[in-house]
Amino acid sequence: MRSCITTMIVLMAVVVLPAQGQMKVGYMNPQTVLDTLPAKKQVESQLNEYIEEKRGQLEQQTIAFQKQIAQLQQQAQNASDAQKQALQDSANAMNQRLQNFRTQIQQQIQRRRAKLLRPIYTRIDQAIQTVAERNNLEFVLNEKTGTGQHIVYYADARQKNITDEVIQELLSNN
Amino acid sequence: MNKRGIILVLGLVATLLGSPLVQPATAQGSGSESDIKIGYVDPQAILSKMPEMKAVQQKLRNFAERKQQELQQKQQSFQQQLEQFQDKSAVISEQAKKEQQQKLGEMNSQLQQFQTQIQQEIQKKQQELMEPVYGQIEKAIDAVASRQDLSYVLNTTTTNGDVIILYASDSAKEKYDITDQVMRELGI
Repeated sequence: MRSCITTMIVLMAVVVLPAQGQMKVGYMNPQTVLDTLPAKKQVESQLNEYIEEKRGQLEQQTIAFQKQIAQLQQQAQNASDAQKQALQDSANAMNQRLQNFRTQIQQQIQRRRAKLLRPIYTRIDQAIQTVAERNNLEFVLNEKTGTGQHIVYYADARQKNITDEVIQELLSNN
Repeated sequence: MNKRGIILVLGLVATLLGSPLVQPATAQGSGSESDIKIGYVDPQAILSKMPEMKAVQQKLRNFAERKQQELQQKQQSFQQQLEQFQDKSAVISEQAKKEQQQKLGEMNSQLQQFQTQIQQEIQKKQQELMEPVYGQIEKAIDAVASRQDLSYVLNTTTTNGDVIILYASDSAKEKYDITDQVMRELGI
């Protein structure tokens, strides 16, 4: 009987060993998850309010710039060459300030967007980890980039797409 | 081993083979298991530590500055022509004014084209300078992957910052993140 048990252990080892080197890989689309979350709509609405506020500021600056340019053009009519040059320099400086303000606004909007979305991304990351651990996955790959380019072009039906499970995980903890 | 023993062993093996514990994972329907081994690497982390990068960045800066100077010369020349036109526009004929305006329009579009061309040239120069650096990294990745018997080595993020590997378990990080090994292979 002892030899019988020994033989069985050896056979078990032979049969089970290859499975230890195998990997479990899942994939998902984080954009789909983000689009499904009600919190995303709240972020969009807050962001739109901020964009409107900044757009208003830009409009005011643009009107002020146009007025100042019109004044400079009037002054230039009876000006000497040296004065014209000075007025041109002032106009260039004003234009540069307006361009800088525009760039600054774009950066502020990007920063605000990132700040508003950060807690949502943290929650998504936590949900991915929970689902991955539940499914004993070693890796979860991103299916598509934020601009919609494919990272995973093809996965056969046996591969684990955890997108829905991550959504469920997030909604159940809402 | 007697006949009963052999039958018992075969029976147990048959039961074992039929159990989900030893079924091929691809048939389990929950996740993909196969013999492939996937590693991953963060090339940005490697690039940031490569001493060659300082020389590459300096060469690229010099190139961009030269191109910027060329652009400024063209802009100044355009500005001068524009000012000359503005000065004399009140005293020249309508026909001459139209011709001058057309010429200035052409100059302006040439200037725009030159700006686009400069950007393309800078990108091209960057690719050209980075090619040998990427070559070194790829060679090191190949060596480490081959040593660790990896089937694939994935990038962690795209150039736009999109994450490719959304999750790696702690054991996968330990076993399959080969960034440090690649750096060691490169001697950094």
